[in-house]
Amino acid sequence: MCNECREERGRLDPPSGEADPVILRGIEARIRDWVATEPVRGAAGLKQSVLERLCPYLGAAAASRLLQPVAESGTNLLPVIQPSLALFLGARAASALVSNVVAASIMRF
Amino acid sequence: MSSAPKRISCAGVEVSPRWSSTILLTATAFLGAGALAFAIWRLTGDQAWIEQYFRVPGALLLVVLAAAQVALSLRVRRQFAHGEPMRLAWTLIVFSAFANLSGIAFSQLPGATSLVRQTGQALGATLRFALLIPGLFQALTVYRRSGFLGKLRRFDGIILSLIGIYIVLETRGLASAIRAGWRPRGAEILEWPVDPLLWVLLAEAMLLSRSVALTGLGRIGQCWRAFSLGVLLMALGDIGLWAASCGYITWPWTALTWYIRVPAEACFAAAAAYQLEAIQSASAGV
Repeated sequence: MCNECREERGRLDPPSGEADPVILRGIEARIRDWVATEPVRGAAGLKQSVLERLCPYLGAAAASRLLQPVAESGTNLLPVIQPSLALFLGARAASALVSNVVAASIMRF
Repeated sequence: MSSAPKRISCAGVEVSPRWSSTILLTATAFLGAGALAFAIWRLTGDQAWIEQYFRVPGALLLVVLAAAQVALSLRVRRQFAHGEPMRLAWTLIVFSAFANLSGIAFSQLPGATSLVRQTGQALGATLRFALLIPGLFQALTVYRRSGFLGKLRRFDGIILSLIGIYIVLETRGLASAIRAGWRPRGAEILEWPVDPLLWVLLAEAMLLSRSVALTGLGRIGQCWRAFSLGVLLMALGDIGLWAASCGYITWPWTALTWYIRVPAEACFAAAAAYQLEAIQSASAGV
């Protein structure tokens, strides 16, 4: 994500600190589009990439366990990981992290 | 050339320099200097080295670390929205850190009477621990909700049982002294709950440590592991004081128990720093 986009997102972030549902819906849409266009590489690759990026925050064992219920298609990624991350980091930081992790994981391919 | 720490603004969140590293390096440097002062004292026999070391830089560092705990915990608290479970945890941790800072300020006041010092002790130990217990309990609740709550092991149970026995014996000793006619002052009574509170904190710290080990230790876990270590060191310091009062440790080795407070306080301050760094790093996508 470029600096301009970050600043724009910072302005759009709700002051309450709660996760912005618009941003979250955007991430979900991006995952669906990407998996649809990259059905073979998308499935397992996305999950592994997200796992690698969550490890530094949660720890390897926790990240691995957290991602277990995520479908190979990755479509339920957000509802699975966002609430747990929000518990420890706060909803706002969690949604920013999820957004960055998903964007970085998709761009890797 | 300016050596001011670099700040990067990302998505409305400022990424601070590595406070945790600064805190831990400062505490390590202080302990290194303390070891040197201890060695010189033992070689020359001049007690002034150790006395001055604890009177000026030691006291100053404790104030700085306590202030850092308050400031960093406040910043962490602000990162959680109303209603989020960790907000309550960090609110209690902020109050606990503030009680500690007030206690140290009371104890270090120039010309403070014994009553003022005891009041400082009540604030910095009894009130501080009484607030930290529900704070860490709330953190454990979050670990349970996320499915990462660990379990105490047999070794933990043995340690807790031994300290529990010591607390029971200590309470019986107090009861006997009162029956024999001893009339404690109010400030002294306020210090009595310190050991039972520390026992509860130690149990929580052990459970947190087991929970963090279960996750595989990430940035979030570092925070709670630092809290656990801080509590463990405080408990060790308390046991050291008890051992000294019973004559199991004699002078000059009793001075070593004074050193424990610094790494313990550094752990508490670093804990808040780790949590803040994790949140800032997540917000910035680093």
